[in-house]
Amino acid sequence: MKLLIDGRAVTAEGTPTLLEVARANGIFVPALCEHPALEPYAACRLCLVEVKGRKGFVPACSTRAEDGQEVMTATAEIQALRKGILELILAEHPHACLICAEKPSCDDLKSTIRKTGEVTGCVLCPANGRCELQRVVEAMGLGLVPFPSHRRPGEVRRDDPFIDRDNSLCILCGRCVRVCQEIRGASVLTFVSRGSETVIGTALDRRLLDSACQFCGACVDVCPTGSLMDRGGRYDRPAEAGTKAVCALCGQGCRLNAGIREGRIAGTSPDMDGPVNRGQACVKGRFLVGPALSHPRRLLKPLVRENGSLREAGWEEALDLAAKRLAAFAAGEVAVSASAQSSCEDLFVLQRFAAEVLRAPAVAGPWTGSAAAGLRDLGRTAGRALPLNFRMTDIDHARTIVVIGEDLPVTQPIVGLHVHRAASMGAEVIKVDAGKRALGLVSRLDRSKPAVILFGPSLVGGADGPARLAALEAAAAATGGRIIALDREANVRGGLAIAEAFPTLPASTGARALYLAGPHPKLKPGEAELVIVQGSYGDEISALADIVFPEATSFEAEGTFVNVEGRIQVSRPAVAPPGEARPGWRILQDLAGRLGAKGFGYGSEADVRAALAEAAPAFDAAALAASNEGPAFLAEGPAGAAAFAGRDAGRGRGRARVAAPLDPDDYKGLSLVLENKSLKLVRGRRCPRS
Amino acid sequence: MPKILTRERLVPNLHLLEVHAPEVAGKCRPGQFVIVMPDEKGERIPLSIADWDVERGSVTAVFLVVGTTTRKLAALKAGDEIPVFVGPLGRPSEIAAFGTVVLVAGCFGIGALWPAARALKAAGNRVVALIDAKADYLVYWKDRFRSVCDRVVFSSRDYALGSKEFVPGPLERLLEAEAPVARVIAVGCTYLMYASAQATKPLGVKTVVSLNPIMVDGTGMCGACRCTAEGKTKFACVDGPDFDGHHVDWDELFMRRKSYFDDETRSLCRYEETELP
Amino acid sequence: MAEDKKELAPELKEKLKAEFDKDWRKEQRKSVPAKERMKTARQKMPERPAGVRNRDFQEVNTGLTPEMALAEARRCLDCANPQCVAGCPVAIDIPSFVKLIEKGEFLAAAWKLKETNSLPAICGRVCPQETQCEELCTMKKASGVPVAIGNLERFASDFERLSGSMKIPPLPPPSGKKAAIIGAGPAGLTVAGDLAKLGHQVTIFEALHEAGGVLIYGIPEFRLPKAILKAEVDYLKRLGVAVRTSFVVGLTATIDDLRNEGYEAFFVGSGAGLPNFMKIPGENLVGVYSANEYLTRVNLMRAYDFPAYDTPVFKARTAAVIGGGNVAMDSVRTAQRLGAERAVIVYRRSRAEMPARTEEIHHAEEEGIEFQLLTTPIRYLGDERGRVRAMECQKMGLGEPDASGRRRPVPIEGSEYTMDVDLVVCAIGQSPNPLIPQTTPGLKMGKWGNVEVDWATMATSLPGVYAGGDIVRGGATVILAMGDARIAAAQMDQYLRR
Repeated sequence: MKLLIDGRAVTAEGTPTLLEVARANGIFVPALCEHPALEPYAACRLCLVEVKGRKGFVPACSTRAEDGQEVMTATAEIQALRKGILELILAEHPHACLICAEKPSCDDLKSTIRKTGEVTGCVLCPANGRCELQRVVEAMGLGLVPFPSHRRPGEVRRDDPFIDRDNSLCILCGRCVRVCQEIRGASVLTFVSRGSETVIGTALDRRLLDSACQFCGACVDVCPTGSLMDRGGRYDRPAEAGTKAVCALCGQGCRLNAGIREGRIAGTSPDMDGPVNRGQACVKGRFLVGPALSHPRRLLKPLVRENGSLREAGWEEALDLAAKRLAAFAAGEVAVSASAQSSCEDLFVLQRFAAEVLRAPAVAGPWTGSAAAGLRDLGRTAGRALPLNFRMTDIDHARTIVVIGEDLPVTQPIVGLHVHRAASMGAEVIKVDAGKRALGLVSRLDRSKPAVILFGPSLVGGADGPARLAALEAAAAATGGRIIALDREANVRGGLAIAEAFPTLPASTGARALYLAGPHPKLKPGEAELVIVQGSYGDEISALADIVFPEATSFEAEGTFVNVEGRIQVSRPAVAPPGEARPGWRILQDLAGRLGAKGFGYGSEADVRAALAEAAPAFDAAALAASNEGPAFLAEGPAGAAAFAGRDAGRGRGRARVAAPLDPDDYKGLSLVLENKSLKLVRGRRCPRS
Repeated sequence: MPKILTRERLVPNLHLLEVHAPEVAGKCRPGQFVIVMPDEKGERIPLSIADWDVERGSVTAVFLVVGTTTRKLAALKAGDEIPVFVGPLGRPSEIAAFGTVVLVAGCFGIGALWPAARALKAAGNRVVALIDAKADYLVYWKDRFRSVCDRVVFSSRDYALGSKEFVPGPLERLLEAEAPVARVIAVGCTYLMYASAQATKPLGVKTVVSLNPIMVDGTGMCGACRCTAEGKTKFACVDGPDFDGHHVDWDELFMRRKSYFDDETRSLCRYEETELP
Repeated sequence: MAEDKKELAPELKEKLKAEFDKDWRKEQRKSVPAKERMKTARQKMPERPAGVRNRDFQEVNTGLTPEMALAEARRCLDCANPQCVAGCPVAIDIPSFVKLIEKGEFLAAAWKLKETNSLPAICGRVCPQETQCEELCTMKKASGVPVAIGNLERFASDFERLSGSMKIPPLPPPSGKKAAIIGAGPAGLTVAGDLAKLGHQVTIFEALHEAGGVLIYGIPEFRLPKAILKAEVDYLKRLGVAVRTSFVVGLTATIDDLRNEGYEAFFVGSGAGLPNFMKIPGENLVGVYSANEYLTRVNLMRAYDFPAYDTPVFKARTAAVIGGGNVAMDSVRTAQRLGAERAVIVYRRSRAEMPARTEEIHHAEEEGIEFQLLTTPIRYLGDERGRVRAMECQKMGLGEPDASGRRRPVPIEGSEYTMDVDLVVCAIGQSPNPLIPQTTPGLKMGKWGNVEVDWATMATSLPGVYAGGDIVRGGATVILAMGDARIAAAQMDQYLRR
């Protein structure tokens, strides 16, 4: 369509609002309550524009552009109106610094931190420099606020973890209320009281901890002022640099913006363009990445056991020792465990190492008992290709959703958002435990409504797991819907696909040595003659090891992760690994070299990926190469499934010991919920959830 | 250890602290300060003395919350004990019959100038107060100043106080209206004192400022508070805190006050990690 | 300046002889022939390895074991004319305490020490014995290596402290007289202890919030653990001394005010609390510290434990400390422990002229401290944030001796060079703190801010007011302060009983 804005001819496609069209054409229209992720609200009225033929003014944020419209955005009347509106907003917001001519020099010369008490002006505000209200005032050039300054009473509320709330800075734009309700489905924040007494608050003015808040941080991200703030980021100077990383703390595959200062992650926030998360995150990805990476239990240097205790050693010494000791074991005598939180590169090289160098029967990985494995096995047993891949947006269109055994905000936060979206469009959501009740409920589903059944690893365990799964799949199929497997760790799908490329050998007498690059059931001292641990955090198992290799986490190395959807994402490193930690695959490469193995000479992660694509059909080479452009998914379909039909893929004989499903807040052996007192408070509640 | 008699929030972000310290109370003079340490692991920081009561045996200071130590002070309650409350330190302000004196006070400076205001009035001066504040609700002790000063005017960015400028403009107009002004005394944040001194320099009016560098011991022993005044290095705690504002190296003071910005941030983050959920 | 060496007074000679003549001493001298004693090598004080100790603040010396103490004590010849006593500024009966150690009576040795020295655990650690008692030791003349008197003093006093049996001597009946001590440093603590033992009611007024003066703010934990100082102060409190901290005499109350409260005799021991700067360009840059500030932040305010303790201090990559005395050694070794990759001493004379304790220089060298000798800074250069980033230095040659007897440093033209630094500590000396002089009318001052005294009595120009330590001498040593305190206490006792 074609329209005129301020006399300029512009074109538009689709159904944009006037505000979107103006912005797309570089025309400034101020707006504070509007946010691209939220439905238009038209509360602040700053975006009022004139449309020829319509009486009065219309809010550009909630008026659809139409072909042939003539729009005026900056007439003298509109300017005066906007100024008046802004003055009214500022009358209730500390505005002294916003209109003070001295601000640049004063701000520059002030020397104390100042952002810790009550905010009486920009120079004392933690949002100074990143405040949208500041930008609007600057763009409109306000010199005076002709109203007495009124301060909303109340002090900064710091009685919750992660988030500070300061009502004196709130401009009542309602973004936080809307994001919490529309997108997150928690409806924790709302407008309280009326008229000039209106404030943002929780029901009964409870702490966020005492409400349904999941501390996802979405309200903080949309707040245009410093009213809702991330406590951890309050005092620091702005980050020096930023990069994007794929979060590996759970299986959703959110993309995060990481702020870097002095070589460390200063803070993370969700990437608006993240293909999976689209500007949303969860408490872990939003607030706990930095603390996880810098936790005191991080392994920083290789350790070797000498005279009964572990001491620091150099890489050369540790690798030489490990090679020497591993060489003493025959095929089948070394058991290997892997983590479903490791990258595809790490897992692929580990599988090769286990198979070719250690000649281990299998690599024990948490994918063995995973929901995805269960669904895959069902497909093979039934002789049809049951798709594992899905897209989050598929859930939006379901008419019935059954959630079995998963606490979505904790284990599948982004899936949870889509479930909420479907529910707000009228879908029925049924939550049930993974027991017999599940079957009963599901058998009574309305067949006229396509149902999506979401299940996790708790459904597939035990002898009757497969049967339950089969029944559920049939029920879903009967409605025209489908069943979706949801696992918790970042790379279960990847791990599973890679494991399939390696045949499992029959187990031999028993393991005499352990190479642990992943979780392991409780280790007894003396259980094995040699224990080598490759990990990021020290724990009871590494304390018993003979050799410990410090491993880089996913944020510190390039790595490919496959999320629950089957989407392949390559994450670039945000920071360098601390101390002497190294990426897992490089450790194995060096070890393999010392053990005389050939073909481990990868130059970079790209080389590893190329080899992976060759070895595992699911990792189509094109898909990998395209990982950074469009969406790339694990290859599936009849060809893929048939290729494996009949292959013994790890069930039954030779199955290595598998650890219990990880706590959803566990990262590489670090229990975030136990080690971080704020997360502990969040998870430890018994309160009604949405 | 000295006991807290009162700790109250006077206006947003500004608190009053009244401590039982009879010996200190008996010796207080306008312009002096105390050094306080809120707990065993705390820092020693200077606070201007805003009032004292010899009978009650108490000394009062006001402070803004800007960092870890002031956060800790703001969390104290009546009855708490405080490990260090030492004073009165610094040279007292010069009080004599000068003629017309203009006091420029901002934030904690309002409290800090209160003793000087009443002493100057008692000495026979015409005392005019220019109180700067970001908003009307940030001004305290208006009645006290009105009761003692011959005139009280405001500079502010708040419509309610009838002004829309920072100190320099109103101060220049005041000096003209009240001419001849014998001296100006400016106490408040460093920027306010700097701006006041800059405004009065071309008019040649003697301007006394109360410098606020970082301090550790407060008795001239360490030199942390050194600043350059009249071309020489002086210690604000024993040579000051009052100095001639036209002869202060302000750039040096601004830079020295920022010495520990990163450490202060770390300290605050750690304080919150331990104190907050 | 007063003479540091005193002739042994007749009463002292008699006292020494009385102990010397005791039967057990005679037997002990006979038990091991002198020749054998002289052949024994000196026990080396056990130290933590340099590479380990230079990263933390634990004490460097770990102390002699009882076996080592016995062996070392055996080296002492028990001279009839003990010159070591003449070298001690407070005239400790050295032979007696050493021989008690040899006898195995460690507690008795400690008590013997405490008869003359109220702070033996401190002196044993910080006295420059090599220029005092050990300099004059007969064993040194005979075999070249003196008896380790300092280490033995430390051993005995530590033994007493750790044994938990700190003995309080029997106190005389209270005199009813009040004495005010200004400053809880080594001088003040000594006067307080002496006067309390003589029956007077003593109150120490200290400006800082912890007692100890230079012992707590100046000398680092790795040389003098605070626990030891605390034990010494507790001992004084048990003798009945009251300590009022955060009390600045001169501001919180003047000497006249205290007179009105009934104090009759005063001791001014307010110390050398005025840092000297070189007055060169750039000295006010951020990151240039006086040694007083640097050490106060780290020692008194525990900045090495930041952020558990709130007070920060710069942790530099390259730290330069200007000066060659004990304070400079303390500062540079502190900077290294705080993580400096390079910790450098910049001193305008040569090693031989450095006034620091030999052991401290030795420890510093072991720990990897760099020494840029015959060098002096001429200016500091800063970055755009006003922080020091470099130092322009000039090399010096040594000319004729100056008033102190040391060769005068002479600048070498054209020898300037620039060194990158991000921390400078100016440890070129301290002057007397001006607070008391400024607020006590009638107190006669010397030309460089010191209080003038009659050296025989330590009396000032005001009746009843005595002074000692750095406020009188300028920056000097703990033991000299204690020597002054000894004399002043005796005079004050007489004055109070007049």
